[in-house]
Amino acid sequence: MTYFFEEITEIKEITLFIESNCDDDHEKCELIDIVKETIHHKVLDSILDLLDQDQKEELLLLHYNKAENKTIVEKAKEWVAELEDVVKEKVREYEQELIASIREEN
Amino acid sequence: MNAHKTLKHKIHHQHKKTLDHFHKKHKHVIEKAKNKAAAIGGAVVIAATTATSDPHAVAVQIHNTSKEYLKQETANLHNFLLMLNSLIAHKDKLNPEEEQLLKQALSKYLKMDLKVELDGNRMNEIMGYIGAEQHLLRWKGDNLAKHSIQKAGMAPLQGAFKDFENEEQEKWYIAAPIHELPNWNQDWATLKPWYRFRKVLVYNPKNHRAVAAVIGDAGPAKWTGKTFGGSPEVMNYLKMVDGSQKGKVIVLFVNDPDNKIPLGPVESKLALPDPEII
Repeated sequence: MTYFFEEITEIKEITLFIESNCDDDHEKCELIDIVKETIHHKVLDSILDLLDQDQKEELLLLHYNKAENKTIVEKAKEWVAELEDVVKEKVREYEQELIASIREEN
Repeated sequence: MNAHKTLKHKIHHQHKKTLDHFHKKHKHVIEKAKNKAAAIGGAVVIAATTATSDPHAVAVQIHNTSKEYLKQETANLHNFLLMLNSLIAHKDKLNPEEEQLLKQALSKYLKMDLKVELDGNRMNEIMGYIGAEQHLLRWKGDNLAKHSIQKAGMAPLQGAFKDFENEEQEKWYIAAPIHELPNWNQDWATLKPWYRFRKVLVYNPKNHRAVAAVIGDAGPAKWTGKTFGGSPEVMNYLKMVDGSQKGKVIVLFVNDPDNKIPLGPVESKLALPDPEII
């Protein structure tokens, strides 16, 4: 599954981190999928915070109706001019936060 | 705790925490959007509107009439199929109700018993982009010179099902991602023979052309962004173009236990106009 944030940026750091800390290919894919889903919700949360009620509903409706990712991005850009920056920042922030918390515990 | 265990634990923990937070925080708007989406799904296939001045401005519209179309006046069926290309243009996936609507419409249009699910089997998707495949080696001693449309070339290896049973099967084959089926790894021993040369209907909603084909190979790879692959003959007949102009097709099983439906082009007596010809 791909998420709309992937139209804007890639998750590199955390992917590399998972790859170097997990030997099982199946598990690797599973963990990357979970991370992607987490990031998707974090990004969506940040965008929803910038929208009014009607826009929020419209964005989620596109999501639930499985509109194509590029369609969602285009629509969101109409409302949030700096969408790309918001998404990129949120993704980097989460990647760093997750990696730091794992390193801290070890 | 070692790095691997910490990694797993943290990823799962943060996933749960994030989703719980998200659903709690946006509970009301999520419910409103979900209810609206369910209403739309119940009424129809969803369209990205082209009625606005901005072609990219997508609004979800309810086509209250679409179920009525399928209750079937010929004219209504025509209208539904004429709308289909724009209806699916902005959709990645179809929900089960939309799949059934399409199955019913195409079964009526082509007078065939089409199925989303057959003998308890179904493909992950019945709609997706199709890419051009090369010819496949049909059997030992086969070569490109023995095929038509030679410019398509020939794959160096045989397809997933090895030898074809006859020339028609290779001529009218598609590749479907059966290796991506959720139960493939544990049930491949029974799934593989079931899918081997399984008859399917491939429909191009853009020009209403359809072919009866067989699943002759597994693929294409996920990274290609395509869901299906078509033999040179399939792509040629459907007038599908690969690359940036690739188009979506609908693929359904053909319930033909007595093998009465020949492979190749399928024409409807209710024939719709090919927009490229008009």
